[in-house]
Amino acid sequence: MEKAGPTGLGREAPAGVLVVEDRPEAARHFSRAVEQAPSLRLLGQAGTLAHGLDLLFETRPRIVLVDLGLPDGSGIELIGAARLADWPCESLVISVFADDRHVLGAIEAGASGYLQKTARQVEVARGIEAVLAGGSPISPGIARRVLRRIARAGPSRERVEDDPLTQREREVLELVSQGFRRREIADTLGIAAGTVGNHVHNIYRKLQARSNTEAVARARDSGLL
Amino acid sequence: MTATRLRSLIQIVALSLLFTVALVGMARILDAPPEGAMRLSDALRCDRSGACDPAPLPQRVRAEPGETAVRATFVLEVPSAARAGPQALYLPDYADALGIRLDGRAVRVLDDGPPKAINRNRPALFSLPEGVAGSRPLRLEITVAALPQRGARLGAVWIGPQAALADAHDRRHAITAGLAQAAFLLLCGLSVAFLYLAWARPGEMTRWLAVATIAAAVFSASFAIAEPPLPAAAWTLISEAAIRLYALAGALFLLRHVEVRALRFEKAYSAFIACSILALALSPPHLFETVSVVTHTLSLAPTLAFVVLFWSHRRNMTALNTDALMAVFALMIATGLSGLFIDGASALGTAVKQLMPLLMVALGAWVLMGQLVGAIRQYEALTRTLQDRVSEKAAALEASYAELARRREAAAVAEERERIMMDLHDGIGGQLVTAISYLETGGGDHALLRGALDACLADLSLTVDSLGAEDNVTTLLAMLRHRLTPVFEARGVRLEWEVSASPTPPQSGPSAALHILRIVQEALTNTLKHAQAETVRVRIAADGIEIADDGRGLAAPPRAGGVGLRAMGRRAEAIGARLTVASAGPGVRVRLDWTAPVGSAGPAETPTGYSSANHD
Repeated sequence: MEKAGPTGLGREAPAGVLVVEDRPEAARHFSRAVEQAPSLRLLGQAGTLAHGLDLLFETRPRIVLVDLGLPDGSGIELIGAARLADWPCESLVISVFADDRHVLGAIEAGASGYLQKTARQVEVARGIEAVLAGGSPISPGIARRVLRRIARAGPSRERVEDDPLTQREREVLELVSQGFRRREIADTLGIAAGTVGNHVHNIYRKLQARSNTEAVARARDSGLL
Repeated sequence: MTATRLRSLIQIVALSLLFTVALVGMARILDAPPEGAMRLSDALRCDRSGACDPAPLPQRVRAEPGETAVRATFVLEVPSAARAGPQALYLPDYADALGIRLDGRAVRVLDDGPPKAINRNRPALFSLPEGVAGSRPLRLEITVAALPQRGARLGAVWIGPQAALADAHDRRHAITAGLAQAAFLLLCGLSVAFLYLAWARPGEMTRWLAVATIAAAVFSASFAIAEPPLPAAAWTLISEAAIRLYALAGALFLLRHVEVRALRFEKAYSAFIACSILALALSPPHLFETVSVVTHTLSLAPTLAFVVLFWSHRRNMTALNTDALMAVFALMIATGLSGLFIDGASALGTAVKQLMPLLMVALGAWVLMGQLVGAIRQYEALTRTLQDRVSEKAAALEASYAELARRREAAAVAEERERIMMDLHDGIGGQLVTAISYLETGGGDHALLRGALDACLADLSLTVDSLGAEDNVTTLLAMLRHRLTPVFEARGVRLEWEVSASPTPPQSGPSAALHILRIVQEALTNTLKHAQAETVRVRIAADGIEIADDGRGLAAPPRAGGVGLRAMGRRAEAIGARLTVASAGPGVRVRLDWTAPVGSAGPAETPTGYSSANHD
């Protein structure tokens, strides 16, 4: 139903995609989905973290699809590497259930969204294209979790920049958590559907920044810095 | 007599002897002769007729029967000596009034009749006219007058340089009369204090202490006040009665303090004291002194009995140094004993005799103080014990709370496990069985199999969601919509969504949330399977959830008897809600509702009133 595919994409060069997934059938499923989308180009496929990291710097993809449970490590590491890459590189975490616990951790590590393992190929392509257009997928569970996390951290934070979400972003999260869909939210708030996705994307970016400062603070507290 | 009592007796006797020796020694030092003065002791006692008998000083003159006053004249010869400077006569001890003539010249005139003043401790000093005492011998005539009760008394007479004798006089006056006045004032103050105590804390101890103190004050008044406010005879009797009453009250106070109630002893002692006072009151004046001495001497027996009784119970005293108490007793006895060795006119003897009541009252105060200290210590110990108990109980309580929390947690874990098992069994289990049967009987229809497996995964996703969403029903339903959206889209059915408030079912918690989720899921699935509807509308409110479609309505007979509906009914019952399934215009309306708890509608966390009905 998401018709977020940017119209201009076809005129540009197809975006390079790297798939890092240790289950061969799933890897094949995603690779085929990428290959069949005209706006995307498969750059490589890896089954381990090490291979994935090698391919990341070798092929410099625009998008990485990462499974978290790799045989030689966590996909979180790959997501972090993609975020710090010196070229524009987004990552999407592959999850069986897209359950909020897994996904939120990946988002905080730098992922721009998630893909369900069971998604049909057309849905996979559409999800990747949405991320390329600057939007991000979100589920009610993730929205509720983000809201709760911010509410919990809120009162103890005194500086303004520590409460990163704008009023509008909070409204978006609230509506998502109640089960409203992207278009419904856009209509309720009187904005374009794409803008909703951008809001979500921004929320994710802020979560990363937030988790970074928290990580730095934790490191400082424990004497690592 | 037990060994304890014997040991007490030996201790007290030894201490008493020690004090007696010390007192006698001190008296010898204090009564040292004034420097350069001459002591006149070789007196002649002359009667009215002029007949004289030798009477070495000191002398006591007892009353004859029928006399209203004792009167005696002593004649002394002052030998000639080289005397330079002003001379004086010094009489440390006499009773009660004096008349002095020197070579026929009156130095002091004595009135006839009984004296008005009572002298028990005042020395006298007379300056001699210049040039009187000198090279020639002088005839000194001293007359003493006294009440018949006590008899007259004349101690040593000193003649010598005025300065030296004035020093001796002043020193003795300070030790005897001065000290007596101080003791009297102090006892008056203590009487007021202990009277107040007896009023504020009524009890036998405080009562006897007050009585003893007042008696002591009355007794000491006879030493402190030279001219009594009462007739001298009555004054003397009161004084004698007071000292005996004081001894009785003091003994009773101390016995109560060591928690002894020796009824026989107390009765006997009281009777003895009463008899003594009665005897004193009834005795003829000239026998008064004799009766007094006899009863005093007799009272040594009850005193000793008391000391032994008290001493053997001294363990009952709280926080009091018993050695010091024993010392005070010994000092009392020593005072009596030393009287045998010290001249009755001794300054120290007089001082000790006067101060004894004060000492005893101070002892009483000290005893009370000890009790107070003991009470405070007891209180502190009690407080400590109480605090220990409280912290002990607090620790135990904390432990039981921890245990309770542990059990509650264990129960919650067990309940959650049960819930997940039930859920997996009812949901995924059933779905997988369906998938397998499709595989076996479907003849390779992949679409059918894919649908069954999709449903299976969606179901598992919901289980996972319910584990993560805690008990937020709205979010859980939102997840359901999120999961089902692709299915609805694939069927071309529009799913309208309306949230006015977060549902607040009577039963809350993960189990209740999952029950609601499964009911709504079943209702939506039924709609997809059977209704052939274009639109399904879900309304979520604080007091219920409604799922309405615009399909073909309930089949006749209604499917209410179906397995799915029965399960929904059971789940609704489990959370205390009502489930109604009815035809509504076109289509079916499933309504799950309950009576919302007061004040729980619309939690602040969730902005309400959003609806997708007019937009999609």
